[in-house]
Amino acid sequence: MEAASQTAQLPDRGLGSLDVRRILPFAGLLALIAVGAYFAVESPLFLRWSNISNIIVQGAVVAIAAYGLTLVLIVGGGNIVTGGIDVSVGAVTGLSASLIAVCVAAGWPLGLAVLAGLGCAAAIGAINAIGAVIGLSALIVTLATMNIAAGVDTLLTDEAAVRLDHPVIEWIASSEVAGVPVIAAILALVTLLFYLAVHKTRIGLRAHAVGGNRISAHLAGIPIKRYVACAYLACALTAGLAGLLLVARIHGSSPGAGSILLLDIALASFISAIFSRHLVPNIPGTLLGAMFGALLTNGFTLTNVPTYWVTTVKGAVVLLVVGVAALASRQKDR
Amino acid sequence: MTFKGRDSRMVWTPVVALAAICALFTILNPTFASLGNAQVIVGHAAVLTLVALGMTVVVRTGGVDLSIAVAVDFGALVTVAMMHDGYTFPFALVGGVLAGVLLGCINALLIVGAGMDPILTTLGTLFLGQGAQAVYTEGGSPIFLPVESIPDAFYELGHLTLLGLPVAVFIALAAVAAFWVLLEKSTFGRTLVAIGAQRPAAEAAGLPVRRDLFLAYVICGGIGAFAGVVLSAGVSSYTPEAGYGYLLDAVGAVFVGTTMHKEGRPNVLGTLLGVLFFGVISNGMVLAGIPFQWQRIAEGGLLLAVLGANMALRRSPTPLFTSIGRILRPNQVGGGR
Repeated sequence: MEAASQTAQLPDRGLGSLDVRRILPFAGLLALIAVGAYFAVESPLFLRWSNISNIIVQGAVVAIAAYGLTLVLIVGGGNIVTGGIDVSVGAVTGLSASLIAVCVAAGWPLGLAVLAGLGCAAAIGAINAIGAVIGLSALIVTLATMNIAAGVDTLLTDEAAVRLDHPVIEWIASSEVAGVPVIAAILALVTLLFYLAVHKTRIGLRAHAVGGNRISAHLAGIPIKRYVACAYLACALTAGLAGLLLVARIHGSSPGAGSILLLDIALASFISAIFSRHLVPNIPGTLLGAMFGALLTNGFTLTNVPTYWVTTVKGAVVLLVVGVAALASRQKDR
Repeated sequence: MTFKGRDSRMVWTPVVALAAICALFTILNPTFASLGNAQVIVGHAAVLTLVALGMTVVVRTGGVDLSIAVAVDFGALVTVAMMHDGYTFPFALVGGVLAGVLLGCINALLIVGAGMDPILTTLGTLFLGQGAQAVYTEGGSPIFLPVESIPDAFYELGHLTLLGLPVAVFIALAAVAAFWVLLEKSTFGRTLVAIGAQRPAAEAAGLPVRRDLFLAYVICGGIGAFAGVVLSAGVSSYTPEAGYGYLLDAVGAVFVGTTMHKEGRPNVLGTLLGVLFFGVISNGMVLAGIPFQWQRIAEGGLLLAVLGANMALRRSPTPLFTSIGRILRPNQVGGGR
């Protein structure tokens, strides 16, 4: 009978002989292109360079903030049961933006205002870092700092938008450098820096090690606490930098602008794992994820779909991504 | 190596801290210590109590339910919408609670069925629910009930007072009692403890882990929705995203509450204390003339302070009861699984 031949077969891996993890990056890219194609068909305006560059600019703020979150995810271990997460990134971005806007509006030189914004972000990052190092749950600590940051943000802006008219900010917002918008150039630069640092240096490798297997990394002599602390600090600082770009993009600040970003930032960072073969959050995937979010928003706007559908779709995508990653990594364990 | 358990002094620290905070606020504004003010504090705490009870159940299993904010909103939304369309209160109430139960089922299916991580999953359902609300209300506008169509029962739920306290307070107290029995005296409660402590062991021991974990999330969603109904009864309307304010406070209340337990386990009485903590803080700040915007900052700061104090006062070198220990100190090498 078949019993004899069946003992020679490989164990059933669930989805037949399909190795989900290998095709996942391609499936992800395919999905991105498919969505883009859909919008291109539905709206003739979509593929115009001005629109594409708009998408890139919209996605830039999210992407930069998300790089920090991705770093935290990497160091914490992509499987976030015991590891890292930072839900305060959105609020910190907004806080930094508000602080910069308020300072500039009060007459401070831009450099000083930016320093203030980054300093504030660093303070929040320090709290997160300390909490993580002494072993507190990252979720709870960053939930608390998120509320603190949002509260200070509200305090600063008094629930009113601040409109700025500063030459440098205008330059960032509207000019071009070598044919691309300044913001896009900044994005490219930051992306390159992060990519090299996280994926091509020894420090980056060690960061992956800390996330991959904390005990082994510890035994190998890597200073865990330093890496964890630096990850949270870096995350907050990048959020602060994203805040500067946010100020440029909306020419000032607007109450709650940061907190709304949390969804997009989380989406970008979580989805990045799908774009990699090893299901680890990564910088290029984060960029793709951020662009995907911006693409969705932009496409829906062009096809006259109400904005709240976008939120729903993004939420569904987050769930889908997390689910697929969970199932795929379970398959790996068999 | 013996398991030392908690320093017995720990159990009273939060109560003493609460008393100290009350004393501080009384100094800042003597009205704080009046009976009328106490009634106000307790009255406002009712909804948070319900939400925090649901959170207690889930945190006990070693997870968290961030989407409870959405459960609150769904409960309010469905109930108010149904009454708006002419349904009587009993039907609307059932509908509202069912909405939360449904959300809980979705969470449970993903977390228990698909094995997804609770933090990420409930974060996802939180986002999704946010969007779903906006879609239903077509942009996020509140739903008001015209005065004539407010059912008496609903109105009384929100406005009736007994002994100077709103009905909601008694409902909350009844819920506290019910949940206390559920968590402390039933096998379900004990299974939850086992799941949180060492899930593989619980599964190996043959406990109905998947079923009870599933139930935990369903219960959380259900009571969250119920809290939303109570919330909307006070204002006879539904306001989108009103639930978010309760999320941090509920999580905070549960964690403050763990400091009352001998082994750091989330517990009903501790959660109640935690709720009072946050209620006292917001009320006291208003009476002391501190602007409203500082409230969020203070609540975040309070949560951090509690976590830090908890960590600092810990004497035992061995990890605490592992579920809360793992949540509070997930990165301790050598503990847990």
